[in-house]
Amino acid sequence: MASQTPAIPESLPPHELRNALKRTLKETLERMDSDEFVFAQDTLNEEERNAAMIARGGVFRAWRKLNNEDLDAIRDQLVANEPELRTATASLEQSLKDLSKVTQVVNTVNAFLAVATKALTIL
Amino acid sequence: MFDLSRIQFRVARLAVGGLCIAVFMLLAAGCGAARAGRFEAFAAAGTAYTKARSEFLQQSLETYIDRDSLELRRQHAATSLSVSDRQALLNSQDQIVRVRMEIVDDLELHGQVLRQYFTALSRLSASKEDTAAAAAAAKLSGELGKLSASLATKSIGGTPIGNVLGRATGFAVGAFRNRALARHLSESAATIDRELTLEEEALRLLAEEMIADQNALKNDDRRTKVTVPFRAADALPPDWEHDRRFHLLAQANIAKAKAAQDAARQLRLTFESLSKGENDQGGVAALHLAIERLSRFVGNFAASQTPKP
Repeated sequence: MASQTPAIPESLPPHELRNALKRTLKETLERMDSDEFVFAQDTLNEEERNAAMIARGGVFRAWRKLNNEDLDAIRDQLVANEPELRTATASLEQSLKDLSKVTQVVNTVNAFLAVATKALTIL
Repeated sequence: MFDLSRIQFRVARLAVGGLCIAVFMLLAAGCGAARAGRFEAFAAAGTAYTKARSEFLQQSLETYIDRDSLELRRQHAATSLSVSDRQALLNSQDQIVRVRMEIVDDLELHGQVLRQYFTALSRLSASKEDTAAAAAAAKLSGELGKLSASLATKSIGGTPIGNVLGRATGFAVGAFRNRALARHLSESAATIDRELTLEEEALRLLAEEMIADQNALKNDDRRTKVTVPFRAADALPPDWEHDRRFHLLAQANIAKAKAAQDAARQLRLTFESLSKGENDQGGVAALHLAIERLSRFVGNFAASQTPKP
């Protein structure tokens, strides 16, 4: 059978305790997924086999829920950052417009000179 | 009678004078500015990243659901479960998957905002307005020549005035752009840094889970096609060698999902380097490599998926 997952020390701060719990759940699933564990299950009686399958489902759902909660928290922070990201984007677009204006000014001077040249030639 | 040639000369001189003042003001504004080329490389890499990221998100979700179904299939084998127990299990795991789908959907939508940012940064840093402005300014020389023959023949440091105007204007417009990029850094560095740090963390979680999911899926398939036949005393199936090779090679590729996290981290590191004004060419090269690996991973993953009817 697979070796025991090490116990989580109780003195860890909450976020580390949570990470340790996630890691333990993941490692437990990996052990339960090993050939050694799966083939050993075949030697159990039906009741024990059923209990093992149901326990595995519980571990899996707990691991998934913790992952979802972590990703959910990051998603919320990313969404909260969106207005500032949009402002930064708008600022860049405005700079690009301003840059085009510089070229437009030079082109306008060009056009003005072209007209002035013609006007002065007529005079 | 008025002197036409003097008026022409004054008009031309006024135009050149005004333009020179504008050019020098722009030059002054551009001092100490960031380098557009590195921003351009960063923005191009960021745009490529958002595209690969989108595919990665979708693939991680598909793997997530497949793993979920595998776990349900295993629980379904428990003979002690009643109909209502099975229904409760299915509901419970469906709910977890729905939560994940919603999160991935939001991350995908957020990716569009991030892509817009990189597109805007790319358009500004890769802008050819300096070239356009230089061409327009150089064209002035022709018009000036028509106004005043003497002005057209003037030169600065041996270079015709039209060429000087063209170069100075192009440089000034480029400096204006650099100034805008530098201002962008000072105003938005914290926002972008926060964004990229969160991105890295999100992709780290997704990549770790995707690797675990793929391992579980492949293990199950390998056990059925490779391990179980080999443990039995019966003759091995004809495809056994092929299946074994496929699974061993596939296992080596699973860890490459970490490319997503690496690309996000490299993006953040390159931005930090840009913010500090460091000339980190190695960082930009590493960023390109990391994004290329991610693109290759999502491409290979897509190719490895058997089309379902």
